[in-house]
Amino acid sequence: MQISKTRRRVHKVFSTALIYVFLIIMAFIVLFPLYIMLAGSFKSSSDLAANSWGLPNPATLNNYYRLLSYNAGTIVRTYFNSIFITATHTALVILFGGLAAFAFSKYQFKGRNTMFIMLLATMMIPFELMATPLYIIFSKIGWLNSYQIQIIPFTANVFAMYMIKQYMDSVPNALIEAARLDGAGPFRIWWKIMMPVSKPAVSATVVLVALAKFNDYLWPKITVTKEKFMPIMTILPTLNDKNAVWNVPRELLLTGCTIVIIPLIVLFIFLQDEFMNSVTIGAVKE
Amino acid sequence: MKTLNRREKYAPYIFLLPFMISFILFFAVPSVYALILSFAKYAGYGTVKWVGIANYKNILTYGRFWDALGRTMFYWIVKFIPITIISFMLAWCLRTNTMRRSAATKFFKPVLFIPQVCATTAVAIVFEILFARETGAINQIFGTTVSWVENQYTAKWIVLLMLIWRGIGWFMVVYMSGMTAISDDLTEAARIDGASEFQIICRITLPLMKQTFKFAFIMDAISSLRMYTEAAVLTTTDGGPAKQFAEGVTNLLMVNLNAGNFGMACAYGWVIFVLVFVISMFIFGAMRDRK
Repeated sequence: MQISKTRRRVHKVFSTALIYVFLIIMAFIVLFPLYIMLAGSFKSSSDLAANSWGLPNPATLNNYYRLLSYNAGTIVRTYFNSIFITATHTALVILFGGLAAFAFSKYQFKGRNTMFIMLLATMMIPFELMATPLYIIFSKIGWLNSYQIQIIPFTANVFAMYMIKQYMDSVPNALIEAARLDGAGPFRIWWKIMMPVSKPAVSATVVLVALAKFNDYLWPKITVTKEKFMPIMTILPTLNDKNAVWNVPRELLLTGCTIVIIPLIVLFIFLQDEFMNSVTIGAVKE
Repeated sequence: MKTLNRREKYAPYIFLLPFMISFILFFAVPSVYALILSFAKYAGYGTVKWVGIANYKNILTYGRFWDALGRTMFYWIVKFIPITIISFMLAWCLRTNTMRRSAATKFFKPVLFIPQVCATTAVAIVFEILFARETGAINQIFGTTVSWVENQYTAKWIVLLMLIWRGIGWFMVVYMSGMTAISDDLTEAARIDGASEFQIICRITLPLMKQTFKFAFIMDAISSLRMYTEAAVLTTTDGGPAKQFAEGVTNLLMVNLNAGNFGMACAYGWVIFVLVFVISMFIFGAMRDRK
């Protein structure tokens, strides 16, 4: 009895240790490229070439200054472009999607189910299909190289609408009836009751949509060729274009990646639950 | 009271209006336009020349398309196996009784999720530098000078590695949520009956997580089949031929779009759609619950 107890304890300590070893190895693999990026951003060009994975020696902020003054402040401008485009686009997606979700979830009207199922079916259609026709249409109406072309298309986000609608389905009708009796109009009910009550789904959707928009590369790459309107993402890979192939400013590229990724990670640390919920909110319901 | 009723009657239509307008303008109309254009030759100006199914024929007889398609499938399927094993193990580790409520889990779970929030464009650049021939960390650590990214045999493996690195956290969170849905009583009962940890995983956890695996597989299929940025950015520094060694089908669409072959680009769009559609239907069919 005594022996088996000891053995069980040894077994438990051993398996816990094994779990820790595995977790630490995986965490190391995950963090290693990020470490290379961050360390590289403080290295000089020659330091990075000779000492790619050690700590910076000596550490310098020179790359950040270079980035700030790169192409007459392009980085700062495009960074703000990215934030502005992401914020407005996400707000529109939530506005349109939230309103439509309310209609689908809490109102009876002709053709509701058919329409909803048709919309869901279109989720299969990849965005890439629309890229060409939209490019042609927008070039005709002179929208290429603008903010609106990055903000307004794809604001009818079926997935976002679906996520909010699924959540709204679980909101009791009595809540709406009570507000209606108190004289609240439909829009007021949506804004003051439905959206706040659906906060878990809405905030997860915000995170998902905003992250996808901020990280988007394909659409701005197609439609924006003027640096003035570009988001930071299309600028990043071009940081080396002005140099010869032999002299790729890797330290500058890594600094550019750092200023994009580190704020995202900081945001993630503060909004962990929203970020991780955004993954599973669609998984819970079949 | 009457005005209220009327308000309520028209409310759903008004609520749907902005969404539907945006949907029709930026989704329905372009989709149809793309279908029509895919049967034509059009450079954005001048006349539209009807060519029938020539665009599709060109795609299907183009060797580079089949190479790209092969790589797209490679990125999707070859990635799924290691990523599922690793993420499932991670999820299982973090859900064990000792770990579940420990501070360590509060640390490891978000840390392992971090790559998922990193911008793909930036990640591709970092990986390219990580695997650079002479100045890359990987080559310097192992004392080799392999040109990982520029090589036609290794480029796709670097992309694969990047996809795995980025995806582990996503899969782990999905699998953890799948595990949460399994009652602890069930596993506890099995444990008391003397079942080993391995038996519990094989006989209880895995079968009950079928829906979760299905969800992960489909969501991943849809995004993998459309992969573009990884291959496009990873090989930018060299520009030249290296671009071809990692590209997927979407990259070919972009090549045609940039070149002004709009008919071809639309045809590629529909090919990608059919691909996503057929594969999703296949997965739905193959994994449907038999009752």
